[in-house]
Amino acid sequence: MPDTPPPDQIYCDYAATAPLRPEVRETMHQAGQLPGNPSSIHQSGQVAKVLLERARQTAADALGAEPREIVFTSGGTEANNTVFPGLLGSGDHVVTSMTEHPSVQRPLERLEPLGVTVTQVAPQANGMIQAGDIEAALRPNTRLISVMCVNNETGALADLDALGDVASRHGLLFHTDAVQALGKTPLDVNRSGIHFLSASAHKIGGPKGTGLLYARKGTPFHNLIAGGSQENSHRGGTENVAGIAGFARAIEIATAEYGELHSRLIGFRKILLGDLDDGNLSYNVNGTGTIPGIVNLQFPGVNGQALVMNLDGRGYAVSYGSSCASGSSEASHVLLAMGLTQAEATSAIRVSFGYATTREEVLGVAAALGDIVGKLQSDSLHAGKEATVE
Amino acid sequence: MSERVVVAMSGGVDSSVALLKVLEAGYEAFGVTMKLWESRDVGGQLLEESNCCPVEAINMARDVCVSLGVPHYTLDFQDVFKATVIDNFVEEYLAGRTPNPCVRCNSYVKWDALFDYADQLGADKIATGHFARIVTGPNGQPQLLRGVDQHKDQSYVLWGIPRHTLQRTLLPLGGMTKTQVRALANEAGLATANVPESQDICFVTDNNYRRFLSEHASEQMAGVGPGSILDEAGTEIGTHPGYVNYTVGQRRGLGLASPEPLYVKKLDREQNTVTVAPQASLWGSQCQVQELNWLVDPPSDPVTVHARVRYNSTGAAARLNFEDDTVELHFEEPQLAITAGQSATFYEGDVLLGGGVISRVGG
Repeated sequence: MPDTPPPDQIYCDYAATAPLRPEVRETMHQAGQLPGNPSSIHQSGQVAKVLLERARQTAADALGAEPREIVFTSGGTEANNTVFPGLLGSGDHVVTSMTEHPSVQRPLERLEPLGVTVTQVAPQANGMIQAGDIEAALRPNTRLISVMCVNNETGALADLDALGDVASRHGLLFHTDAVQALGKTPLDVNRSGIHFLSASAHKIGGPKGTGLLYARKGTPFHNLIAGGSQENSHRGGTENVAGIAGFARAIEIATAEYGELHSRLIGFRKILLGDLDDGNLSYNVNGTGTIPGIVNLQFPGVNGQALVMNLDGRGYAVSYGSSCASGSSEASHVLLAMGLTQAEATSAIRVSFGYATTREEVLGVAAALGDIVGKLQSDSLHAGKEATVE
Repeated sequence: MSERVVVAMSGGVDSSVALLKVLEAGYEAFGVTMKLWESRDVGGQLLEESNCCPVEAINMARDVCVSLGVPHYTLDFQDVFKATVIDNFVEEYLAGRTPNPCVRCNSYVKWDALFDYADQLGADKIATGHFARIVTGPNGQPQLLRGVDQHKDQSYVLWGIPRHTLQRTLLPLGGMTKTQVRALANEAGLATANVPESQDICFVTDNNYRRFLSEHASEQMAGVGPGSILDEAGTEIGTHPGYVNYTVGQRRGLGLASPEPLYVKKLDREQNTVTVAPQASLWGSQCQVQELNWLVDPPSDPVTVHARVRYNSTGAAARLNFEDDTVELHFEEPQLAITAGQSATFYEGDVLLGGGVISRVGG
């Protein structure tokens, strides 16, 4: 294996993943040295089990839940995939949104041949999913509402209390994909009437490959991974003790820092947009009422992917839509659902900040954006056409 | 500041070494892999020796770039590839011709769409791993020359690139042999050092173009039915399941009992016939060439060149006569199985003057 040191970059892609917090690395290092399997009788197993259950308590506290309602998974995608099969059957109807993550959309599509029908509600032009629109889409056979809390591309924040109220008034189950929300906005499963909630460790400085599903007690639950009595028989397989311990540590820190970080990120967002205004760039922000850390920017006449590559060359890591590994340049389904044209959607990028972002980094990415966008926009004017993504 | 070069990375050893050479020459480089098709779209079982699965190719190219410390991006060119290469491939076979998709890919995707992208990335030049050279000619203009490795020379598939792009193109392997390329890749420990040669047509993953046509163009293929196999006198001597299953010069798979070997000489879409003949009858000296592109100042007076009418031929002396947008090509000695749809390339010494597509065979 050749040496592949991390590139010397300013990281502005926290919505894709956040760098591992040093405290989390330390916790994982310690937990990783424990030899025991949490299911074992001996003391080595007992120590691992205690660590696991303490982590469960931490996660539960952060959501206003009980520990037995927390199922640790391999991540948000597994949590989303776990919710639907088994719960839904022939004749059931689900109301969800057009802006959900693919790990909600694809598993629901898979159930359609089995007789499950799905309604995808369009967002407002600002990216928000309105509780009223969800309610209007309900049918007599609706069983479940699934709406993400914070959109991964725009940062648009849903009103979970209002959505939960709709679900409760109609006697429906309510799932929310809170992968981008945990640690970024207060969550309370009881206040919001949530039955299922998916979350992930690596968006808040925890390890990749660890997540959780909150499943309200008394709600039907069907495990996705059979083969062991771990996680109260809700998820087979020896637990990822070090990952889960790291997840819990990340939750603790995110909870403690929430108010201060939130204010700091609001300030960074203002700095970024202020600098773009000062630079006389033509741009739009996609989405309002968002969490502060995610800024979806659209630059007319600029190829968003080329912009991401240009920024990368300058040492700034940002995203084109969501992070997509397949090399596809398809326009974002989220932005299209918000009413952007194909050309508009492919001229957008996502800049996202987090716990380690500094003011200097925000100023730096704003300056680099100013330079590059200015040049690309003047090139596309000279070419007399809008740059297009092939 | 050093010039910035986009290196087109296929995931093979050649383009990997091209990147290595570009870096050695002091350029600021980054690699791109053009995603041209999806396995699920083109069908077919990948050959075991193929390196052409897009995902693996992308992974290989990225590995090489990361180990050399340069950025790598995957660019989605599926739409332009389908429109300019795959659709034409289907049309040409349906027209009874034998296309050169690699030529069109170079002209319309690599040296057109990729250059557009290079501009947006602020790149001064592009580089590829083709075995051909770009050298400044006597008039100060860049010229495209054959690769030094006679067995690997790829100038034949580069005749269609826009002339003005030559000055912005680097072909770092033109002066090397394939053996040297492999040795350099091994020495540098590149992940692609021992990747096998790529197959003929990347999107026909099993080398079975008949399978590709029947799956990919099922609608058009529905209109292609059985017909007659004729001898040169026009007498029916057998039947065929569809003319698109044959290419000029083909001997196998005809299912004919004949005292002497017979070869496909002509495909007639209108009559739905396949004409076969003994090999002696497939030799010809003339063809018409259209869709011309010149990499030098276009000649207008008759000129004698060295012409190639297929990839695997060294070529022969021929006279070019010009008539509007068409070249009449007269070989001094007869050539075997000149085939409509294939490219004709014209050389003076090692210099590639230009080329075109063979539109009609015979006088």
